[in-house]
Amino acid sequence: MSIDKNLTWQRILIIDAGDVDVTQPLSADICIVGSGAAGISLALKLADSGLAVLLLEAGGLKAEPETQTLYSGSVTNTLLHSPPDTYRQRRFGGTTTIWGGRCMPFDEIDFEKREYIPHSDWPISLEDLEPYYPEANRLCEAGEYAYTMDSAFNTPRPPMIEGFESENFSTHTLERFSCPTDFGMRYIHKLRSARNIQLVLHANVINIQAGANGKNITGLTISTRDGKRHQILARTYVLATGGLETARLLLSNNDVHKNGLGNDHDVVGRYYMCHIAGTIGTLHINRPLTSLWHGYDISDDGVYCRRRIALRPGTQRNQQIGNFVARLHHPRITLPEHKNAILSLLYLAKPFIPYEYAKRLHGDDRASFGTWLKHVRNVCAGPFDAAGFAWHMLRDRKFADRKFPSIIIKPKAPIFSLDFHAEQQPNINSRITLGEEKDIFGVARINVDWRYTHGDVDTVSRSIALLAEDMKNTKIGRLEYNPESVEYEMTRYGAYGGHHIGTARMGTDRHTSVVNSHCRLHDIENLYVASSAVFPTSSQANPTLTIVALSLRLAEHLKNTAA
Amino acid sequence: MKQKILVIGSTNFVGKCLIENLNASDWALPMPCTCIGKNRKFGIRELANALYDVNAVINCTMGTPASIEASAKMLTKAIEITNHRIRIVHISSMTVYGTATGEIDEQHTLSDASGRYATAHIQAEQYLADHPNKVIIRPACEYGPYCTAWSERIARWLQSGRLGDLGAAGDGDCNLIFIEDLCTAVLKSVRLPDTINETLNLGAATMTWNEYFVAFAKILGATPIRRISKRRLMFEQKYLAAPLKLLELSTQQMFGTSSKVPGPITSSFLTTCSQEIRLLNSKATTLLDMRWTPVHIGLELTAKWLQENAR
Ligand SMILES: Cc1cc2nc3c(=O)[nH]c(=O)nc-3n(C[C@H](O)[C@H](O)[C@H](O)COP(=O)(O)OP(=O)(O)OC[C@H]3O[C@@H](n4cnc5c(N)ncnc54)[C@H](O)[C@@H]3O)c2cc1C
Repeated sequence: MSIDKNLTWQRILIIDAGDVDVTQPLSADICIVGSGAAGISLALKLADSGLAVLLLEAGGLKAEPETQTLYSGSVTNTLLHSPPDTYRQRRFGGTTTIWGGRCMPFDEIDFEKREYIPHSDWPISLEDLEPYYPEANRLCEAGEYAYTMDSAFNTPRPPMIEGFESENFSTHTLERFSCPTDFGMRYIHKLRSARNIQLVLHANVINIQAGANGKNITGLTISTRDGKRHQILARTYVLATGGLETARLLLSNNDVHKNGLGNDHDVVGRYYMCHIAGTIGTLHINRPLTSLWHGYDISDDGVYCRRRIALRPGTQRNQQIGNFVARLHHPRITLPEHKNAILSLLYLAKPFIPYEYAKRLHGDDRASFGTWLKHVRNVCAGPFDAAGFAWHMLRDRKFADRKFPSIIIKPKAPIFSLDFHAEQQPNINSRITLGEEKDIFGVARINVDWRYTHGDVDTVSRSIALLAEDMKNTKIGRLEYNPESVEYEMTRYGAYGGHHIGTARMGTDRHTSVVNSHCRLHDIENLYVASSAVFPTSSQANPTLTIVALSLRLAEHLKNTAA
Repeated sequence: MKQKILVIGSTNFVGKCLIENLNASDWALPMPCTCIGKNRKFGIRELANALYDVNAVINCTMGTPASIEASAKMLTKAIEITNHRIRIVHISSMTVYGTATGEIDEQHTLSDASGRYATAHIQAEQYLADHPNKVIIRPACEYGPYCTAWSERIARWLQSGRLGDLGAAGDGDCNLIFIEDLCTAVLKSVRLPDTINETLNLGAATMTWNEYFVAFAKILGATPIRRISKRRLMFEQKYLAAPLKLLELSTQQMFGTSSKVPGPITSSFLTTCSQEIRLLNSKATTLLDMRWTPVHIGLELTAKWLQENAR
């Protein structure tokens, strides 16, 4: 099928599935399901490639509660995982409409087979992704692909913690922040101007048809919420529906493949990972505040960058633990004992902060009236601090296109808490399955059974213990924390929200993986996955930059195979 | 013996550069000529007389749409009077492609959709259409020393934080031509054999406008570059553009220069920044054997010139 034969629909670049003529199937060379970070990056890379591209999106241009409920499902342990209709968005732009924008590439070690981390083998290396990271950075609007202080800044900056030299931790690597870019709104004009892309909104993919021999996909069925159905035909199909929905779609299409697509060996939905994150302890630093920098640096291209305390690869290997980073953080907001007007203001502003962000800021705990009153007192004691902060948030966050990424509180003394973000190990028993309940299209809803392992507790406990030791040995400071509380703190708010990883993992062995190194289902020659679902391991890094890099790599592969 | 080259529009920035380049050559003697505007020294008759005496004419008239049209008309009339098949190199503009998008070669249909300048350039090209011995050059946005619109003005905006990363509004293709490359191409066109009757695109898009602004700001030290919001751009266009244009014009009128005035960020400027148009210049590359200056080198030279000529 060539683009010329599709000219009739090519002229209408963005349409609603409800307006499509049902007597004619929509056809294309490549059909991408889902218009989040993955789907849009893939489509943009295929722009003007000569291949007709159909981009199907379940939602509309704005959030719609009825569409969002199609994401709801059940959770085995609600203390450990948030409901599946939170921390993801079913709309044009996908979850990038609410993401935080923290970008960093995976580390070299993340791709290695680490004997001490079960199932930790990627079939590709950092080298394979490196050519795509700069463009991924551009699409995420995170500036240059430069993730160390030396490469990102021409002029020297003050150290993060003066005098802190450690064999176990580095402090020169960076995270860079996207605007955060809503991929839908940012790139809609690019999709419009590409002559070969058609975006269909309100196109819920409800069925994926496998050919009788099970070796290829012959079509998709889409439906609008009011039941208007339509047939889609393409040479190649890509699921870019996020880590949870990809598993759902693969599992629920089980007419030819009895266990679901790509699931002959019961791998789809398993190895489900998020990240392990939390805030712990009190770090007293024996240095004046002027020798510390825990805030943002702004790169020449205007991007907010932040340094972290990162566990070195050598130490990960020696200690046989996963990847780990930590940041200097403010005291826990919920505790009025911090006596900080700004933190108390944030506490009181909880009703105005979106659920996904409020959860980690405030926890789910119900505060007593007394606690509430103490926070009010804190605000009254520091009205200028609170007003200054409110102004900064309005100017640099609310009304800025490039938003100040997070809350940075300048402490009055060199005392911080430690905010950590760690790799979760792949665990065969942590999984997404289909539940009993069905949505309006008759598609089974998911059940999330997220589980962590001793290995995960070990990664966090040993990293924190090492950091405490290094602080002490270098006489930089002391980290006070209760080692017994590590497991509680790392699961206090459950799995880190919004990072849905590993449910259709990449590998060379079809018994332990779902897709091959080009993200194609092992046994279905024209079905691909573009998502963090394919990551075999989770790294310390947030997933989106790598999702985009992998999508760009996939686009190139699709262009080459089409040629 | 040196060839005499009449340069119409010798006082604008392209004209000045051309005169410099012609003077620096070992084969040309430039003859500056102003036939439009207040300081005009040439009428049709004088122009016709001058044509007898020169080997080629370069028409690089800029300024208002009316002057662009008028100079081409005069030149055509003068040629008619002399009936002289002299080589003409006429500098037009890529604005003649209007709001076209995609890859554009010289065969592309012309359109006046992008405004009065486009109409004037199309008209000027039409006046010269029947002259058999000519090269029409359609340059991209000229940057480099002397270039007011795409270098000096942009530098001022970047330094004052009014311009920066424009997000989606700056995703358009930035078709640039370094001023020295433009001059080289014009000089080479003058010396092409008389049988040549060609139209050439000059310049190409190697980056987006956002990337151009970031690269330029870095070289100028106007960093960190700012993200300019849609809201802010709308405000500039709606409320600031008209009064600033007025101020610019009146300062120009009163003091002969408006370089100290901030200058309006107009909707036509923003349209250019978002237009996805990629000029194809392979014809010029082959015919003139051009070696294009890479943008980073062009920008370094521009920044150096701006520093040395800080006004
Ligand atoms: C609060 C929050 C903060 C975050 N912060 C960060 C961060 O700082 N850094 C980072 O790297 N990541 C962050 N993330 C994660 C980030 O948002 C995701 O990694 C990213 O959006 C995933 O992109 P995707 O394209 O794979 O999935 P999505 O963006 O979720 O897109 C999936 C698309 O598929 C569509 N779709 C689903 N099912 C169907 C169907 N059946 N038919 C048709 N279309 C369908 C959806 O409507 C959606 O548009 C955050 C997430 C949240 C919730």
